[in-house]
Amino acid sequence: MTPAPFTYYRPTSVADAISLLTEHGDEAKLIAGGHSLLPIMKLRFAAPEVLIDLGGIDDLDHIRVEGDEIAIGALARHVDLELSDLLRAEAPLLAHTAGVVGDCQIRHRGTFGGSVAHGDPSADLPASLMALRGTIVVEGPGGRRSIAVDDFYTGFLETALEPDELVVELRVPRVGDAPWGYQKFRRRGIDWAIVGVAYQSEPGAGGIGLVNMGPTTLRASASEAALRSGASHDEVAALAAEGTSPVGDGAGSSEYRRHLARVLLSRALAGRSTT
Amino acid sequence: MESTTVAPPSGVGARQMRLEDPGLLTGRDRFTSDLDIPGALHAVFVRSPVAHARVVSVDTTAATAADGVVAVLTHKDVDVPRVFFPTFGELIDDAYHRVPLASETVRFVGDIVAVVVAETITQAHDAAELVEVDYDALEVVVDPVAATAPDAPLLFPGTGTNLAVDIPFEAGTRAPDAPVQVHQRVAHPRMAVVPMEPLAIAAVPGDGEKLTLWCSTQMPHVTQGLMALWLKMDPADLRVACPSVGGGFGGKTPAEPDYVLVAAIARHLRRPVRWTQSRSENLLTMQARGHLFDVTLEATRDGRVTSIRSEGLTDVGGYPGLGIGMAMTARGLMTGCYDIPHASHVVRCVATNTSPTVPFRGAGRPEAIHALERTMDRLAAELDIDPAEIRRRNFVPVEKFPYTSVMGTEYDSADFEKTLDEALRLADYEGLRAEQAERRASGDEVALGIGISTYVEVSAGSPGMTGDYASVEVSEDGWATVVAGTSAHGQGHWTVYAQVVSDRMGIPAEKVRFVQSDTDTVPRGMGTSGSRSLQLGGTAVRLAADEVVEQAKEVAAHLLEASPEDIEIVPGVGLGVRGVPHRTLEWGELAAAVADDARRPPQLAPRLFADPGFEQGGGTSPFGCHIAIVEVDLQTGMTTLRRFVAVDDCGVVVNPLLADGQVHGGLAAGIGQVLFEYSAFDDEGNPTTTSFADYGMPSAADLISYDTAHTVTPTTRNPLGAKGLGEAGTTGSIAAVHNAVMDALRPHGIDHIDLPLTPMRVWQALQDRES
Repeated sequence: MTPAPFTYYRPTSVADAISLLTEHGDEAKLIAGGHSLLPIMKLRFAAPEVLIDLGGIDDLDHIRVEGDEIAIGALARHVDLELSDLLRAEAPLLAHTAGVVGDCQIRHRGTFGGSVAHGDPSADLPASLMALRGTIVVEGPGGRRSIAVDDFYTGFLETALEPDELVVELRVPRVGDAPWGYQKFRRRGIDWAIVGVAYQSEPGAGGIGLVNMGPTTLRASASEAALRSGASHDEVAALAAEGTSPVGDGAGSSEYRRHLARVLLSRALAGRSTT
Repeated sequence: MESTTVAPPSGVGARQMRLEDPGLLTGRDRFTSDLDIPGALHAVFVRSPVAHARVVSVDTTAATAADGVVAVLTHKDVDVPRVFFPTFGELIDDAYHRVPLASETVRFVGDIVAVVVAETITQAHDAAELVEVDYDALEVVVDPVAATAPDAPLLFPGTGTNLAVDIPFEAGTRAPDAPVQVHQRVAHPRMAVVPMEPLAIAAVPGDGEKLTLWCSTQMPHVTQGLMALWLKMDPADLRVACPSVGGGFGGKTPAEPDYVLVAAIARHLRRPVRWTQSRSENLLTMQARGHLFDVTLEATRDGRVTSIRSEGLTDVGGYPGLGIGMAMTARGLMTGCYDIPHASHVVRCVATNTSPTVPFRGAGRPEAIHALERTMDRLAAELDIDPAEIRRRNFVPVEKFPYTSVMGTEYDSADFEKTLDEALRLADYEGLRAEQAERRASGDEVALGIGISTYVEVSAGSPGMTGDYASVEVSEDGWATVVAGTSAHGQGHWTVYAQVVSDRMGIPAEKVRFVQSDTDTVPRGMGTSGSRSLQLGGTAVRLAADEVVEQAKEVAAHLLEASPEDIEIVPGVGLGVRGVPHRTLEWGELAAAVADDARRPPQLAPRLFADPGFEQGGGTSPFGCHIAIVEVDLQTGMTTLRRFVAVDDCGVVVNPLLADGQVHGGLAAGIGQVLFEYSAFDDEGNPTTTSFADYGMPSAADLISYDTAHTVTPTTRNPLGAKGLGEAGTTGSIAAVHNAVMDALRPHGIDHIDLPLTPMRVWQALQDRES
């Protein structure tokens, strides 16, 4: 199928992108890798009147050290994260997670910022961002602001982004070789997660992010609290589904998803990761 | 046991690389949608979003006024014929026959109510959204069992029932008081066919009544005949031609209702009209399988099966038609590899508010073998006999071939123990059972399962389709041209036919041209389906090649002043005189000579050409044994395929490389059906698997390197000694994988789970068992 007609813009700076967003408001959609947006446009489930292509902005795909943090440009592609020696050394959970997104083609087109901003609870990278207690840097007409990942997701495909803001950078702490695990449970080798669990042991007592366990990417708060209080891994894993609200669908009932969250967390805590 | 024949570099038995690949891999070859058709309009179908309704009104006003729109057509505007396949259409009430453009009633989500024709495909899509259809909902029936209930809503009220077909069968003598009886209900769910290229057609009217259909089909000549019948045309006015065709798997046999519709519209508008099916439409409307089998086996205490009683309920969707064929074919194979003295079977086909079904790889064969082999494992478990052993005890003994089963199906030749033994050896069956026992004893959370399936099928046996056409001609450039009535769409016929030419004539495979799939250039043919092409088309090539060699020998004898008996083939060169190395004539010289009145022997025609054709008169019986080894994660229900051993016997293997390809593809389809794929509908008849996000099409990432091998039991039905192989991989593998997962779960008290064995279903079964 072909998408419904739309007007296409390709700004070359963040400032130009923001002014286009300001001008077109709700009628506009940002597009980076396009791997979430284009399929639904081709099926005509989405028909934005204006597309603002961020691909012309050429200084937004960095991966670099900034103090205690790694700063990653919103337009860094999944494959850039996957293959970054720096990221593998400083935040290996994130590099690993990027390598299990979609397939090779998707990883060469899709961007970290796009995945985070789309707000799909079945996405992998936001869960690892959650486990790492990362920060989302957004920019709008009034300048830049930082949003903690816990405050970013507000509902299914909904985020704290204002209509005239875009994600410009993602920041995660440098955790080095502290233990971590990523478990992506999927029906097929190339598929969305039925449930995914990201575990990172540092900083502090660590963090646990959940994929597809509710309308947004979720934090396994009860498990994290147990972890902080020194509970055994079995006890921590048993609490993985506390406070979650997974939907049931053809791939998994909500009961099955709760069960999987517990099993997968237990494996992630043991440092096991799916590839 | 690979074939050990010493073959010439490109002859029979050689791992010849595909001649087709350079054109396909470089993008040089063209598919129907790539063709440049000057002035062609684009059609888009407006499909029903509801499963069962009366069509109250169709408002085309806004769509007709949209940019680029040439016509918006409903059943009131264009005369579209009723479409039925003579073989199966005659089994059912005329009322079931589909008119591809619905009039007062729609019967499934996807039924076509209007066609938008525009200058561009985008204009057609945009306008299609403006067609307003008012539906008055009717009660929906989706479940095939519910559709048979006396108070079920009827799809065709005039028939008084949804059961379009209800044919009982019984043969043989049933031993009284069987000491052992097992029953198993085996669901064989709906699948999508998913060829890489969806349907595509360009219908181009010519002078007078002439019409050319460029289309993606497996059967150009059959399409020509049926289209002419349906459109009330003289077949001579209708040309059907295929450029490259990107797979079919049964879903393009032969003439789609969509194609009739596009052809009728092109004739109505008197302009070229093209249509390319979208992937969503393909997943929605090219569906297959959908059976429910109830199988009862009766046996002696030592595991000899004395009777099989079975019933099939086949969901053929909104318009019973071609789908009935699969139920009939399945009946014929319900006794599989076993010498069973009594059988009964009921074929029942029921209409439901879902997509009508078409054939898919195996087309009835995998269905029967799956139902039977699953139940054989239940019997083995009941009697505590090893699954390999219980099969061995029931095989048709080798001395009984040719053998006619109690179902009336003839198997020309087979040796079931040979493939079973080879598969057990390759799998190290004893070692696997020992590993399994150890792991069970240690309480391993990952359960090992071993599944066996032994199968037999009939290839090239469909009535009226047991022969085919081919010609061979040598031209003055020394090349041979093969014209074939089969119609390859990925199989590699050019390659294997060239190997046959090479084998019989000594002309290298690289010097063989190939013509197929066009009713203007191929005199006749039955296309490609049912694992028929190599044995029928390949044999026709061989017979033609041999005749051309005889003609050429006469020419050579005449020119070289030798006796024809002393003329022999000199591979890579042409013909020569036996024992006289330098007295040779190249093939090009021979072709030039025969065209020259001065040099041609008087008794010969002026071409080195022959097209005797081949009629086999019946089918052949490929067979084999597949063993799947799986690991099931008891915590999550996830099945991982660890190994797959396939020992297939398709008689003589002409090209082991292509044979591997056929087996690999067949296994992928079977494994996919067990672990990943099914086409689903909700209670309202809404399809829920209309994209690859939801439809579980596997990729290479989900499959493994298979261990394939062949035993060779040549058929005597054709001089190649070859049987079909295209469907065998699927026929054998479904039960092997299904049985393997059940074998892993048996210690946990689970006897059966219906397909597909998704992790959740397996986990749910384990949960149900615990609680």
